[in-house]
Amino acid sequence: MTSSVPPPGGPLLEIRNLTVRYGKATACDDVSFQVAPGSVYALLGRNGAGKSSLVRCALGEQKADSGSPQLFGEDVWKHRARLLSRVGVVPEEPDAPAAMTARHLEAFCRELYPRWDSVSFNQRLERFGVPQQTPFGRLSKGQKGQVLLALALAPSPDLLVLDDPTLGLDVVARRAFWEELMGELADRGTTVFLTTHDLAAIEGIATRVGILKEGRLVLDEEVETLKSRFRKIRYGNRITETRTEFGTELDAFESVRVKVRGWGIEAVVSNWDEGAFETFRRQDGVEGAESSAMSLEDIFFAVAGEPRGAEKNGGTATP
Amino acid sequence: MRALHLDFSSATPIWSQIEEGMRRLVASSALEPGRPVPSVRDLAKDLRINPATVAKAYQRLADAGVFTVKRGDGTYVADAPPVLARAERTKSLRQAALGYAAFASSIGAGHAEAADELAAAWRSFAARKEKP
Amino acid sequence: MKKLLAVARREVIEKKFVFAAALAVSAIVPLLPVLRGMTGAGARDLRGFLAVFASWSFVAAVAAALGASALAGEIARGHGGFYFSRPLSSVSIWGGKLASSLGIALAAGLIVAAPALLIDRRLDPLADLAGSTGRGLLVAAAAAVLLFLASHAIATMVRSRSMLALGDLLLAVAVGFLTWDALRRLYELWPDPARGLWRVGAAGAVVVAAVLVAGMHRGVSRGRTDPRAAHRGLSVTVWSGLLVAALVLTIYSRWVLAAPPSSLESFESASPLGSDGWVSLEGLARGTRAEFLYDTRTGRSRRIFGPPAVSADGSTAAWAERESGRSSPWVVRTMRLDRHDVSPTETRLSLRSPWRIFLSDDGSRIGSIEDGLLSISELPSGRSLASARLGQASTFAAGVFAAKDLVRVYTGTAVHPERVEIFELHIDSRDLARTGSAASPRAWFLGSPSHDRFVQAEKDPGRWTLRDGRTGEVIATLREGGPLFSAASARMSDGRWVLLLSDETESWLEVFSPSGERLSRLRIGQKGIVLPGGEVAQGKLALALAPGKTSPPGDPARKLYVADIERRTVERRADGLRPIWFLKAGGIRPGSEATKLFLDDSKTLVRFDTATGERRIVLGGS
Repeated sequence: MTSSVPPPGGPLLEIRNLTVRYGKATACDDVSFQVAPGSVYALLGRNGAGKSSLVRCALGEQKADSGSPQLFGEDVWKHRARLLSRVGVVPEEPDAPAAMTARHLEAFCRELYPRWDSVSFNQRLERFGVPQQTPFGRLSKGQKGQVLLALALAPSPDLLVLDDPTLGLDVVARRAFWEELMGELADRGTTVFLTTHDLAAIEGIATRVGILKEGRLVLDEEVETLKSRFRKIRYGNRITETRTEFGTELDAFESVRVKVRGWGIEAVVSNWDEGAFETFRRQDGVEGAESSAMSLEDIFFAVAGEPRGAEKNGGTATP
Repeated sequence: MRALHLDFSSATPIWSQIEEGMRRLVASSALEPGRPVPSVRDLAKDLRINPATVAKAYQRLADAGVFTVKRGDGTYVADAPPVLARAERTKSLRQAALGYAAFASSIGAGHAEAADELAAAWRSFAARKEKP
Repeated sequence: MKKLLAVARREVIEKKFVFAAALAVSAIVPLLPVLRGMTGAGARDLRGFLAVFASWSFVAAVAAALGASALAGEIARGHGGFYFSRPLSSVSIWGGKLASSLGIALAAGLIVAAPALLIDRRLDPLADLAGSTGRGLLVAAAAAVLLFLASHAIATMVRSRSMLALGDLLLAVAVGFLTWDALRRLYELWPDPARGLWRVGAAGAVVVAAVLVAGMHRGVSRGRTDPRAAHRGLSVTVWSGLLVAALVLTIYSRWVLAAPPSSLESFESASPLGSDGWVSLEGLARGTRAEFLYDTRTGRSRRIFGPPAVSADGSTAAWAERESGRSSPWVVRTMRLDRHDVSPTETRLSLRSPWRIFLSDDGSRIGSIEDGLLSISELPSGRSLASARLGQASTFAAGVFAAKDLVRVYTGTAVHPERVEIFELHIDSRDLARTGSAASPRAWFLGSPSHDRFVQAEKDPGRWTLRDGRTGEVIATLREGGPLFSAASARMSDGRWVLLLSDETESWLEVFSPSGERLSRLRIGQKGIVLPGGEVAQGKLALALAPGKTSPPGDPARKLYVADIERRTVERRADGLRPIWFLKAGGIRPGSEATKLFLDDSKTLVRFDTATGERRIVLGGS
């Protein structure tokens, strides 16, 4: 293998101004982000947001209309075959040939990678309880995912790419899948780039998230800072004798979403801080203001949950 | 070992929650001095979180002298509670107190109520330490 | 290579069921003769036929099916990621698929053929079909490659479900038309059309295979998991490749057709057209049979695609050509040789074959004989003047204008191949009458300019007669006796006849009066082939003597003589030269340009003045 060493500290995967179009439809619109070594980057987005196109481009499986992704610092479209020897991939669709058993698949893939680890492959399948002699097409959905994860981890990859790997899996299979991934992270510290709808599962795993909305990357941030700046604020909005202005009480915040409910107003703000909140709750007409932290799912829902144009206040969550 | 509870929807980073939780377990003697702590791998799998996050918390605890790392063996609770320089201790306490006060204030608790709760927490540590 | 083999191995494992199917079919081959109660040679023939037929069908079907499914199908179904998300180069992916599919197809074919091969130890039909068993296998392998590639290309185009497929269809039609248009003319001009077609077919197959492989590579490496991009890459490569190939073929075909007389590899035939220096040249030019009208004085030329006829006054040439296709009619074209402008005139006359056309002495009328029908038309209009049915299918026919309004036809019949019937048609009255008959000649016969007499070599060896042109009756027997080493005849402008003869010891010429009385005998030299040339001056006949039948032109042993009929001398004038072909030419003026044209070697036409010895290369040579 003649893989060149990436610049130290440089991103393993770099997406720069990526645009993908299908006819007149734009799947990815000028998307840029990086997956740093050691990180777990979760790319989130609703169905059709452009995640799969982005993953295919990131793996050099598909040509971007502009902005070729860099894998380990090299153009992945040009050097796909060489670069992918350091990447493990679990595809969205279990696309292994139906007639091949896990044993056949391993025999095939073993030839392709320089650092193939047969022992860990077999141990994983044993842990999962996947029969090795059953054709892939006759395995359950969960078992298919497990075989593909085992195939993706066996080459001892530097980067693991998971494209919605638990799609359609039941709770037990999902749990087994994520636990196995956790083991890999603990053992090898593999960098992971994944897309998923299973937000609860990656809550504690992802170190950075990106949110794709209708082809645009509307958010790209460390989970830690993301959680510290997003808050949900609930308050009553009363008319008082001294109050002169209405609808301006949230001006100090960037509101992602504001909803008027029967009991008052619920707003999601993206630049929360204690001091500003203290000032806010003492405003004339603001009653019973309280703030609550948000889970990743809440944040995702606030940022990507509604079609564009439905946002109030024109607030954007782009940092 | 007593459970370590994580709140994913909290604004407090997970590593910080683990660090806090571990300090709490050590302070309450649920983790006794000289005893091994769960490995990063096991704890990560258990809590379903990124092992790097656990490792970061452990690293901070080791730096603070709460845990000691024996190379090639594992991580243990330090034999003696960490002795911090006074100035440093004051600084840390002030920081934590600020956070607590802000939190109490944000949920509408008054100074007296918050002080009572702090005292109750001290008492519970003391009670646990006395039990075998 | 290791990865390519890994892909191939994986493919074979997945397609194992093909071998099972092949085994099932192979069992039928030896069973069927048994079920039909056949034994011995009959059973062997049936087995052989079945084995070859079934195995070829199997190879073709498997190659085509795998071509459509192995790669194009997987990508269209969204399963391309299995390969493209792994460290496999595009070449490994398609190469592995191609190699494994061919291996599977051929192995399955061998399995099908195996029982018959084991029982009979040979496969006769395969050898019969392809020439040899080895070649049969080679053809099967080549066919499998092409089928796989073509099937892959078509499946890629169809399964991408894009409008590009319409463009593919249009381009396929364009390439097909260009190829057909380029080949249809060449096909008729190749000396061996079947072989030419086989060669072009083989070259075409190699080009198509190369283009399809390039297309597959580009489609796979540019398209990867995207079926439309794969389609685009494939189409761009395949069609630009095939269009270039078709254009190259078109340019090649144009280049071949545009060959000048100087590109003739040799002058296999060179005959005078009239007295003034026009000749018709025939031979191989750029790999095709080519015939030219060539003016030795000015170098003007015209390539023609049918044998020419020329009027006795040398003013007009006529020939028939066809525009397209093997079934299209031959259109008669004429060209004035006595004008400055040498572009041909197209007549309205069309024929079903280019032979048997003849012109009146002044070139104003043309006659043709086809399927026993004699037709006379006016030139250059092509207006029909008269036609008559000769009444029998003619195996051999020649027509002459005995006068401007009198046509005489010499025609053989299927019933009496030993006789030539003679007919006369009066154009004005359109009366057709049989005027006589003659014994069929051994070879061609030589007539007088007025066609009232002709000399012919009889079938009886060594017998030469002078006959009446109208009745065919023998006027005089010029020579009788045993077979000769060589014999030819010539006619002097004053009407005297000359026989040029050689026996096993010497060569000589005999001169006869117009009515056949022998006047003199002049010795030429050693035994040899004697060829008559033109009358270089009044009463002086050029002739060449070659020592043997294998003597090539340019052989210094070939001597050129001039026989002076009046002074009864034969003088050597040059070595190596031989006259152009005067045997069927009549009415050439003594001392005219035509009589000064000789071939030096088979590639050099020279003008040589026998009186002054002045010698100049006209065409060819180095």
